[in-house]
Amino acid sequence: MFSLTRQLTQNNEPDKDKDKDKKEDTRKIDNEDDKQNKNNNNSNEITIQDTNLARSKISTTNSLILHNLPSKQNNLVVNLSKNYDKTNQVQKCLIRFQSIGSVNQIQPKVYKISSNQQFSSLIVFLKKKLKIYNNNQDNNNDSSTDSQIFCYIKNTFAPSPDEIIGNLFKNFATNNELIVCYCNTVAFG
Amino acid sequence: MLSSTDLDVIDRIWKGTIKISVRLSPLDLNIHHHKSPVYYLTAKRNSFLPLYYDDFLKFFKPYLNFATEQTFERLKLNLWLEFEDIPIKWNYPIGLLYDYLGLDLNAHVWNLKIHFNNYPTDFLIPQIKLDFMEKFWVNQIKEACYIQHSSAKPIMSLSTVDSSSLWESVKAHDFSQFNSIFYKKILPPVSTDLKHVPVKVYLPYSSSNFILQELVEPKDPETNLKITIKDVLNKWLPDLFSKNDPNYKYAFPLIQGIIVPGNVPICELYYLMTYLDGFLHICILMNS
Repeated sequence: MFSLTRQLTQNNEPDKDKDKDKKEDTRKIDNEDDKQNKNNNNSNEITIQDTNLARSKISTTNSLILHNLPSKQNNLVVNLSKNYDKTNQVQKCLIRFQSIGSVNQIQPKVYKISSNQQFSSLIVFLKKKLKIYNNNQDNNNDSSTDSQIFCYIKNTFAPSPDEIIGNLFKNFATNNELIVCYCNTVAFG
Repeated sequence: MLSSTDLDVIDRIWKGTIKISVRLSPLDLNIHHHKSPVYYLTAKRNSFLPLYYDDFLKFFKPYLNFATEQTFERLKLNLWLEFEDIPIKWNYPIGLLYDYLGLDLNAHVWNLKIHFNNYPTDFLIPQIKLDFMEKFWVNQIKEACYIQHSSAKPIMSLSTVDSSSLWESVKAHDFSQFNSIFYKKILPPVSTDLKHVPVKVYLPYSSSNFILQELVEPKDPETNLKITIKDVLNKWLPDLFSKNDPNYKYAFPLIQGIIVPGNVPICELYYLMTYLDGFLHICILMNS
């Protein structure tokens, strides 16, 4: 029963996706272009590849409002998103990873990442680097200490996984680097 | 220090509510029932949805098609809400979610759907352990504290009693308790003494990544004038908010469901209208 419902929803999903605004499609292409650029780049820092985890959706209520906007306002919204996507695609943030406690320090320490990525993509990257895998088949809460990694900024707080790296960088970078400390247990409770 | 007028404003904001109706997803509905029952609630704007999860569960458990196989805890961790096919971020305050997703002046009730299966991990932060809301909130308020003081010392040096009492005040929606710690022990007495004001600006009509957050000082270092909300919006979104325009011509900011006049200093707004996570969440809507 469970797997059946899951399949059903999965089958439904592509239809839903079609309704989404076209912005996302262009973004995906941009990302691919970006990856090609990276290969040509001979910089010292390794770039963390973009994940397309952050998908956008807009509510029917909002899309109706958008649909009925006066043309001037409509143009403003369109240009705004375009400019924002452009500037953020170009920008790269430097991330320095620092281990705390008994976790291995990853090498190299500094990486580049697109500023429009969410913080969760850093956590995913770090887990891969440290070869930490989640038991996703079964959300067994007892084993979570082994499969988790806790990331902190400024040695104080764990940012929300959906925070945008560009924003964190603007607010908390030191010497043009965002320092992310990581630990396998809860630190700075 | 908060004046009696300030306290009156904060009190009114804390009393702000949203009427919500919740229906069970047909996929989770027991075959003995043809139609989902409807759960109506008056949710506090300045609160979080997971604080209502227990109420949802108690109400919907008899109608679930698989409840007997799963523990209360498992059901709660897989619970998620949806509005017009969009999974709702539990980590945003309810008032922000409503302003961001559902503002429809003609509707009296915000219609949501509840799910207990197929948790959409692509859209939502996983709910790992039962205390997920507390853990998330603690880190948000620490981030806000860091922005306020360029150091998280005020919140890190709170006694254990104070820290847990702050979270209890959030859960119980008790302003006097929240005030005695957040306003008296974390925030500086005068709003202009903040290093920076924790502000986040949301543009709901675009991709989900469209959230602006930069450091805002309470006063302009050159002119020594207090920075107003209009100054901030003009700097971050110059196309939507021009400097010379006295009104909101194209777009307007909505905080806690209220259209805020442009000439109010941002630091004062923060003290009056901050959400429980220590951030001033500003939603930008277009004039139509």
